[in-house]
Amino acid sequence: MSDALSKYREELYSCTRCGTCKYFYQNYSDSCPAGKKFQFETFYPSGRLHIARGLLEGKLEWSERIRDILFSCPTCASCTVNCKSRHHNLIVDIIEALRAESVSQGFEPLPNQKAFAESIEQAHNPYKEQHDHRLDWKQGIEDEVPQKEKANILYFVGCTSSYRQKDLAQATVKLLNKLGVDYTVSEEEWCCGSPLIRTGQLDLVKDLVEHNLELIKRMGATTVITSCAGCYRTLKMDYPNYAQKLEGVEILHITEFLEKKIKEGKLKFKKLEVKVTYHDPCHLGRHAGVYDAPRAIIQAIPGVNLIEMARNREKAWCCGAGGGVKAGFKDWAVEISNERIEEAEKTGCDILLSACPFCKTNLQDAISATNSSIRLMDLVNFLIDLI
Amino acid sequence: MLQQTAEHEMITEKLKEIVGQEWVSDQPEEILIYSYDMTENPPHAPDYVVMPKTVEELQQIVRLANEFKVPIVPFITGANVGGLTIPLKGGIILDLKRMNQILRLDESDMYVIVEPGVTFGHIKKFLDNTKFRYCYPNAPPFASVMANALLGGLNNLSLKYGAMSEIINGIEAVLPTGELIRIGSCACWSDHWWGRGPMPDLLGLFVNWQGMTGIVTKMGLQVWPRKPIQDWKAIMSNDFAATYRFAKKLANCEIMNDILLLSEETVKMVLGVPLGQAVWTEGEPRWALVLDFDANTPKEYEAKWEIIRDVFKEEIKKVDPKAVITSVDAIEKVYGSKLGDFKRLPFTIGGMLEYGGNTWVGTYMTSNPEMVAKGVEKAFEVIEKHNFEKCLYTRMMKGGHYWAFRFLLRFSKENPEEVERMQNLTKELFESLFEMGAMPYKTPVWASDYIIERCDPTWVDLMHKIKNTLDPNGIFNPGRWGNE
Repeated sequence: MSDALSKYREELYSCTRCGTCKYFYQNYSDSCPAGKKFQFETFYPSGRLHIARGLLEGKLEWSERIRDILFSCPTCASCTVNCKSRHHNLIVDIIEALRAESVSQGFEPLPNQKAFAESIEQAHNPYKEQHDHRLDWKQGIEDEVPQKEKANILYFVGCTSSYRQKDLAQATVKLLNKLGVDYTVSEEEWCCGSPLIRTGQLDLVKDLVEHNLELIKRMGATTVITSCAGCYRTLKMDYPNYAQKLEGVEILHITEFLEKKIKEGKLKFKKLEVKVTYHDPCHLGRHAGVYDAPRAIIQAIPGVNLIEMARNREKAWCCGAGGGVKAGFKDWAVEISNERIEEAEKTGCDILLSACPFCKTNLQDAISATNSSIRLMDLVNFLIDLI
Repeated sequence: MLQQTAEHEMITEKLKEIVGQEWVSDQPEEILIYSYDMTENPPHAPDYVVMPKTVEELQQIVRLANEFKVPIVPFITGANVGGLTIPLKGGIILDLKRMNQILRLDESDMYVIVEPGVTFGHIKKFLDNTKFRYCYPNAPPFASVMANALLGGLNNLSLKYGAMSEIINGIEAVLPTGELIRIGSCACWSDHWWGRGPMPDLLGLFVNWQGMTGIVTKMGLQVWPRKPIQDWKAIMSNDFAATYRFAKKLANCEIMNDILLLSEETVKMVLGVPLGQAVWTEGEPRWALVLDFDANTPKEYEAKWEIIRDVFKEEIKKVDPKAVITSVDAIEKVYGSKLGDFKRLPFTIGGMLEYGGNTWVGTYMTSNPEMVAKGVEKAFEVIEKHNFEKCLYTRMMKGGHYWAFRFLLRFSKENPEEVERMQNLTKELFESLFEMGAMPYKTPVWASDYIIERCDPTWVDLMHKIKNTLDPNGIFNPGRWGNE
């Protein structure tokens, strides 16, 4: 057993398998997507910790099945807010450490998860796209996209917005331009490393971190804005584990940045009579604690009626895309999302908003799968016509 | 444990045919995880873990198990704290989580019909949308409603209604030979689950049998109207005899939902004081009472509150001038929300469940004040000898007819020596209390073995006769209560 996992020994022995992680606390609805789906004790967060204990004690040996159990978790972190034991904050860290150990023991991630590692190695993105097409998203708005050698603010676009949800990158740029922000984007940006860290494929991570940090330093940026919850979590919370902290650099999700502008009186919205609901991306909400900023923005729009879903904020049901589940368990990822779409529909809203392109991808797949009539938008795209 | 033989393979395949491939496991991960629980009880591996969805599937599994004489142990959440789902003879763990429907609420006769996988959280969420309430133990919300009823657990309405088994209206169960039976009014009219009589009450064939005589697939349970006013008061005192007299006298007034008596160590554990540090120190209140009561009108509330204060003055304040009575709301403001969670059942006592090991010696015993005082004194002496925390958690039961006398014992499972020390403590503590007339509920196998050696042999003989009649192949949870 690696030192990476042994360091959690005390936490592994603090779980009694009391089952508190299985429900949103005092809401009493299912909280763990994998547990709800597979139902054996082993698939719940507590079961995974006890698998780790079994491995630590030599009562279990690594196997493909253990790999599958570990990789079926979307790392949504609902267990970290529901568990009442002293190890609660570390459950996702432990699962990720177990995944890394699985890889180092020769039980590699599922084929599609492995494929995005190969793609990142070759082209610095998980989508098997060419790196020199990274800024293709600016097609049609070339003049509006700043590419400077130096800037105080770097908009870190992320792979999903660069290659798959290009309208989010475009909308973010337009929004920043409307606000008169001095910023830049960079064609030298590489994948933040999130897909690799989440799936235990750590070999390339240090290179990615060093490259991106070097880019930030070279540009003299003091603020990095992301429109992707996954990039945000990684830059803010994972990078310090791989490199010295970047002194004086603030990592902000676009919603945090916009909330600041509202508070400064620099951002005001036109009136729009519409009912919306908001899906908390796990990497933004439970992982990083950003619940208020997106809501403050929505509530600052005159006429907009925000109707919360039954499970919201720290009790939000995961979209199902995270932790490599979208790549590894394609159909099931959408199944998880179906439940979220159903919940959004129950609010009677016109528009389902979120703040993560990866959530959007999976929620959109669920909308298609269920023939739902709900309209899905990233919050940034929603705002662009209201300024 | 069965070896990986051709027979094992065949049984695995047949189980998969019955419930579907994805709901059967004989893989090392499940075999390990289902072989132990949070208690100090030694592990034992099952051979298969199976998750049926329907009664028909369950019956087929039972018939298959009979054919090959494979033990069956029902499992829902495994949080019973008595080691009761550890498969002492291997065989099939029947994980019933998938059978998790609340089938019906009868508002007129005030009962719900539930499947085994329904949890306290589940029923709480369901009833919150109605005018009814259920009763809750201080167990995690993911504990099973049905299992707690079948095992006679205590709860926050035990002062009114007794152990949870006393509120069962009827059951549907699969016998060890595969037949489906019903007990109670539902045996005559399939839609009427209003009670168990008047007819020979066969429920006793299943309550506290720990799954040895049947697997219950449906249960009718009483619910009660939620009253518009509910309140909680707390008392901090130093004199056990006076505190207990107060509890007994107030119980006899028949105005309360619950009277919970805790030692200071328990309060500290609830507050999150680390393992080993929940100790009482001079100058702190020694005992705490949590009083739960409700009312239909403000007038009724005031009258009850006046009685509580009068009994407090009479029984406690006279001999313990430093004792205080206050609202749980006030306590919550001073000490934080953890103590206030007693108002928000079901909840998890975090401090109790964060060291890997958690067990208890939980008993029902006479409410005679002298016996109770002796019991507390003796128990504290034993716990002190073994160097664990004196986390006493007690309740007055059924209007004061008997007393629930229980210790919450947390320990680290990382250290085998500590596990052994806990095994020694629970045995000595149980034996001491048994000598004073305390009977453990959710009885661990080592405790039931001890009882069998000491109780009336005709009772043991009758129990074995019943077990052998219902379960001729001895496949349902073998090894418990002397049944091999």
